[in-house]
Amino acid sequence: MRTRPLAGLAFAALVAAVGLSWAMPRLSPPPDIPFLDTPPPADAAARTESAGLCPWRTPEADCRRFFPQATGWTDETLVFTRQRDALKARLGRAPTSEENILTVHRVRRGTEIAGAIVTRRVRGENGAIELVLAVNANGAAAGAKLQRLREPEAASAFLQGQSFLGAFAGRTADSPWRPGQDFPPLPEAGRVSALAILDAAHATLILLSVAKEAHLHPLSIQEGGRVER
Amino acid sequence: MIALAFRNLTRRRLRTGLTLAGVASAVSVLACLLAFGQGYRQGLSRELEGMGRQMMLVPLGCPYDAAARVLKGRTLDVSLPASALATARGDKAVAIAAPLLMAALPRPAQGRTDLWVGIDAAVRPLKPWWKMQPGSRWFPDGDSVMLGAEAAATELRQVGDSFYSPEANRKFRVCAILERSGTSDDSQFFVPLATAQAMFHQPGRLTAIAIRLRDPALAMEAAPRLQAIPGAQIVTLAEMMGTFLNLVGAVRTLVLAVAILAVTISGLSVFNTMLAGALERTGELGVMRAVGASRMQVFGLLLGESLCLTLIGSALGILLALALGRFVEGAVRPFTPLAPSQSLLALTGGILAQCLGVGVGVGALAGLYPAWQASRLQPTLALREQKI
Repeated sequence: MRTRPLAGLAFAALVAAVGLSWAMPRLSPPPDIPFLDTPPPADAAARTESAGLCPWRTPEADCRRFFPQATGWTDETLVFTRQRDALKARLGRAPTSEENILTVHRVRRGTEIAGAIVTRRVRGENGAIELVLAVNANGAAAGAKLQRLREPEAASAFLQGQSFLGAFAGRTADSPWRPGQDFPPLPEAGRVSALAILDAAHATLILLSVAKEAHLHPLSIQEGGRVER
Repeated sequence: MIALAFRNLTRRRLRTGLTLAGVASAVSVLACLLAFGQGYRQGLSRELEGMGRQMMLVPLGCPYDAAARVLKGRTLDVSLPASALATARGDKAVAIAAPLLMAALPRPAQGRTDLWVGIDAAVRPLKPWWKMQPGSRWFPDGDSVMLGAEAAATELRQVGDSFYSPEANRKFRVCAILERSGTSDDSQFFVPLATAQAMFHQPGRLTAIAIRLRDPALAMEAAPRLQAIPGAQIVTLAEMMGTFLNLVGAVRTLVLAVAILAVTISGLSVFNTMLAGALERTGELGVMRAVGASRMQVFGLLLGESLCLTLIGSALGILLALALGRFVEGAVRPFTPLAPSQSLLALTGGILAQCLGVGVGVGALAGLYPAWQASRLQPTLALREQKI
C-alpha cells in the first residue's frame, strides 16, 4: 500500500480550517466601551491589611549623593525575632511589627562596603513620610532625605531643610537625639512629623547596631544594582 | 467489528498510548479554555448585575482620551453639567442617580498618584461591598475624607487623623476608612462632591453619573431619554460587560489558537497511527479481502479503530480537565484582569459534549484517508507485496 505525503498536510489543513471556522464566531470581539469599576472578589475581606515595605525610589541617585564613590549595592533582609529583648532595652519601648524585619541596602565601593541605606515609612502628622537614611560603615548616619511627604508648606520646608536633615550626619545609635540641642528647635508646624522622623531614624540606627553586635546573618541577600558612572 | 478494532489498537500499546495521550491533552486544553470563557462571562454577568447599576451617564467624546487626561492630571475638557444629574434623577425610570467627579493627581518624583473621587450619599446603595472600619462615619463636613483600605495603609492613617493634599493645599480629617475590597476603591480618596468640585476647579461639573433603574427591564425605554441630555451619552451594562470581555479577548484568542493547534497535532498523530497500522497490516487486510471482506467492511474497520482511539482519548481528556481544572484556574486567575470572584471554570455538559464532538470529529477525519487507502487494496497485490 502506498501513501501520498501530501495527504497528511491536506488533513492538517482540513482540521485547522474546521477548527477555525468553529472558533471564529466565539472570538468576535465585543465593542470598545469605557469601563468604570468592579465589585470586590469574594476573598477580599480575608486579605490582611498591610502597607508593605517602604520602597527605595531613587537608589542610584541616593548612592551617588550619600556615597559618591559607590559602585553598586546589595539588598539584605534582617530578621530581629531573636533580638526583641535587646531591641526593647535599647529602644526603650517594644519594637513595632515593622521593626521586626529590616531591608538594608548595603552600598559597595568596589569590593568594600561603603555603608548602607535604609528606607522607613513614618507616620507623619498629615500623611506618610518616607525617610531615606544613609549610614556609614561605622554605623553613624551619613545623611538623610525624605523621598515622599504630605505636609503643608511650612512644615515641609522645615522637614526638608538643611538645618533639620543636615543634623543627622554623624549621629549614632548611642548619640543624644534631643530636639533643640542636638537638632534644631522644632517649629509648631511640623513638630509631630519631625519627632516621628527622629524616632524612626534613631530606631533604625539602633536596629543596625543590634544586628552588628549580634552578628545577625541576613535572611536573604540579593544583588541590588549598579551605580552607572 | 468493535471488538476487532479494539484488539487491533492493543497490538502496539506504546504507539496507541502515546496517541491517546496526545488526544487527551488536546481535548483537556480545549475543555478548560471553553469552560474558562464561559465561566468568565457568567461570573462577570452575575457581578455586574450585583453592582446595582444598569447604566452610566458619561460625557460625549472619546472615553480613552478622557482616561488619558485624567491619568496625566489634566482637567477634563468634557464633563457633565450638574443639570444632567437633576434630569437623570427626574426620570421616571431612574431609582438612583449617583454623581461622581474623579481626578488623578500624579507626583512622579514621589512615585505616587492621588486618585480623588467626589461622591454623595446616593453612591452608597451602588457600592454594596463597602464596609467601613470601626469608628468610621459618613462625611460630617466638607473637610472630611474617606480613604480606601490601601490608601489608608500606605499613608499610615487612622480614623480621626489629619490628611493633607499638597496639590490642593487643603487639610482634611479622616472620617472613615473602607475595608479592603479588592477593587479600585482601595486606593482612592473619597471626599464630598462639592469639595471635589472646589478642589479641582470644576464647580457644578461631574465626570459621570451611575444610574440604577427602578426595573432593569426599563433600560431600553430610559436610554433614549437619558441619551437626550445635552453632552451626555449612555453606557449600558451590556456595553460595560463587552469591555470586560474585550480585555481578555486577545489572550483568549491566542490560547484558543494554541488549543486548535494542539487538536490539529493530535489529529495528525491519529492519522499517522492509523496509516502506520494499515501499512503494517497490508497482508492481513489482503487476506481479509481475499476471503470475502468487502471494501466497505475494511473501510469501516479502520474508521472504527480511529473513532475508538479518539473517543477514548477525548474521554480521558475530559476526565483530565475535570481533575485539573481547578489547578488551571488557580494558575490563570492571577493573570486575568478583573477576574470575577466566582469560579472561572464552567465545565458544563454542553462544553463537555462539544469537546467530545471535536475529538471524535477529528478522529473521523483522521481515519478517513487510511481507511480509504486500505479499502482500495487489491488482495493479490497485497499478498504479493507482503510475501504471504
